[in-house]
Amino acid sequence: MDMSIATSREDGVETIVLGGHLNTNAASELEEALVPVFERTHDLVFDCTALEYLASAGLRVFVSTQKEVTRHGGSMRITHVCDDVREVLEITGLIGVFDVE
Amino acid sequence: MRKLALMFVGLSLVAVAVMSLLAFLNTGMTFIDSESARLRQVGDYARASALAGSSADDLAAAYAYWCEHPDAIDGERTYAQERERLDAAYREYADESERLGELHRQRDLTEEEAAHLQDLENAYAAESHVLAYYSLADMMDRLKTNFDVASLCLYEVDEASGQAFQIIEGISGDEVRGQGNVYGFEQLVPCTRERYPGLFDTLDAGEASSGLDHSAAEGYFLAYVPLRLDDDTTWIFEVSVRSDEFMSAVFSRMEGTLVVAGAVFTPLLVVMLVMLRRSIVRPLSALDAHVREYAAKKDVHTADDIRAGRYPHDEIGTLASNVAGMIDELQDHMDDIARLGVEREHAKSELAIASRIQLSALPPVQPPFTGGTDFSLAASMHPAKEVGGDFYDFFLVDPARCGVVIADVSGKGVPAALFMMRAKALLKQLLVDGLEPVEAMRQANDSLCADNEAGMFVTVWLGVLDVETGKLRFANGGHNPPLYRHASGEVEWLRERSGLLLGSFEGVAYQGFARIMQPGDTLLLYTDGVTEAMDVRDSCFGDDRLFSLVEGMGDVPPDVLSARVEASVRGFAEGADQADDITMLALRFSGGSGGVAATFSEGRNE
Repeated sequence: MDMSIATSREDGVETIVLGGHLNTNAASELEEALVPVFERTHDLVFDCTALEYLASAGLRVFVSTQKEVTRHGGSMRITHVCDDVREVLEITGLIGVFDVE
Repeated sequence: MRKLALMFVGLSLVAVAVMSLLAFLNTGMTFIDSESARLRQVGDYARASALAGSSADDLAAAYAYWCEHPDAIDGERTYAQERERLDAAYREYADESERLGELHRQRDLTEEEAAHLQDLENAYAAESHVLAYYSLADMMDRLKTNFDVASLCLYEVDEASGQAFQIIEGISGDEVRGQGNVYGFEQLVPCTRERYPGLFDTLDAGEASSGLDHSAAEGYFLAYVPLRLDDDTTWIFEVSVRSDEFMSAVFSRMEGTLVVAGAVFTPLLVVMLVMLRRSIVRPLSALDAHVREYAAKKDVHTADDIRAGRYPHDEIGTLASNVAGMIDELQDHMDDIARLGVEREHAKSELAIASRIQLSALPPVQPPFTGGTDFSLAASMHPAKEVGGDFYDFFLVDPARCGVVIADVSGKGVPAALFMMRAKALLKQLLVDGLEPVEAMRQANDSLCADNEAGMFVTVWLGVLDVETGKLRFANGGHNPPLYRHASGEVEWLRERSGLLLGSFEGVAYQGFARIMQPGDTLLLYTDGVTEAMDVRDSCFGDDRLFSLVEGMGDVPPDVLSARVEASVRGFAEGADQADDITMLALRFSGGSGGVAATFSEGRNE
């Protein structure tokens, strides 16, 4: 399953729409996609409507992004997570750290 | 190559055929043109001959006489006979004229004498009109014979009545005038414009027809030449050839052309083929041979051979030098690949060494716990890549307590392995130092957060089992819930969560948990490589499948349990790439006999 990444911007908040499987390969792709985003803003939303699977490499991108935006006084929200992704966030305890809707 | 040559021969043949056909047609057209010119010439001769002896006025007068005295024209008479008749009439008139002239010098002539002389003069004039007919007929006979035409006829075309009348038809060979080719002038056969449009067109145009008319009579080609006598009368000479003879003459000429064309083009074709062979086929064959040689032997000197070869300075020469360049590039490329292969082998062997080091960091499964029956334990790890990010660990915290750890480092490869070594050493040290699992986890997290530039993290489940009491103290830092199988056969998830995964956020709090293991209870620790193993259709092995599998297995030793789970996962993921490390640790508590005694089953992957 391939990963899809699309970004859009509104009122200074960058929304990154994720789809498919966020596995090791897709995670490095996402990391690269975030580099230019951080040049514009540190207020991010990860829209996970179409995200089906979240591997630990993907979690690592979320963690590093959380740290990056915190360091710059920004914010990161994770929205529309499906049950499987929510379960991963719960198990790892990250649901308590991230702003998950 | 042969195909090319064949194609060329085919094209050449087509070209020859087309050119021959053109020459053939050209010959035909030329012949038709010359033949029509010839027919017109016959007509012109006839016209010129008619006007040579008499003026148009004389002819008009003669024609008027013929029409008034149709009986005067006798079809069976010849020109020579008529000539004699004219001579006789002239002599008679001349003699009488001389005699009466003599007489007239002596006396006046009587009325009778004068009338007689006038009659003789009139008879002579009449004979000269008749002779004009035979003169024309004789001339036309000779033209017809000499020019070998099918017919030569003289018509009067009368515009007012819209009719044409045949006056004289030339005869040749055995033909006899009067048998169908001369007409009594009172019975001139009328020809209408519809039947002989060529005649009337010529009348309208007032000059000789330019082409051949074949509309008038089936089987003939006709040409017309007009002769205007006066304002009311126009004669037209009509000349014809038989169309079948004409066409066969055309064809016989065209056949000749075809033979000539063949004789000219065939040697030309042969010359072209020879040139083709010399300039295209032979160099291409030579190049082809070189390319085959290179394909077979991969000898880089083939490129030099090609460059040394004599190729024409055209597209083939360019092709040859391109092929030589391509062989060089191919050789460079193959050298690169060979070098890359060596480098890759090198990297592979380094990874293999790293993998061995990492695996050797996991505890071997026969060590310090020997000679007892308090618990048994099996552990295994199968990395997805050479170096994985999962690890397990077990060790004696003190003589009565056994520590077990399972962990999953984010990512794979050497960075994950290094982080794993660090985490593993830390956790073991903290537990052996006597810390409670939850405290060990808290301190390990803080330590791992420091100097973690790469942003790695690790999910950890760790527990310490008191083998005398069966008390299991444990903490779960973001790891998958283990499965717990009661001696009764009941299976449950250990869903207790202590807090966040380790290595990401410093200073977070963890919560510890404890439970009592009953003799016969089994704890199965695993990483997400088990539950998230995917089949070819990208669906996961899943928690439910694992749960049912363990539930249905009954009370089996840890090594059998982990082996069966692994077999099931592998069967499920058959054909798909293994995406993640598959790591398990199974611990079965056998009952507090009072001393540490364990057996370990070998499960480490090589």
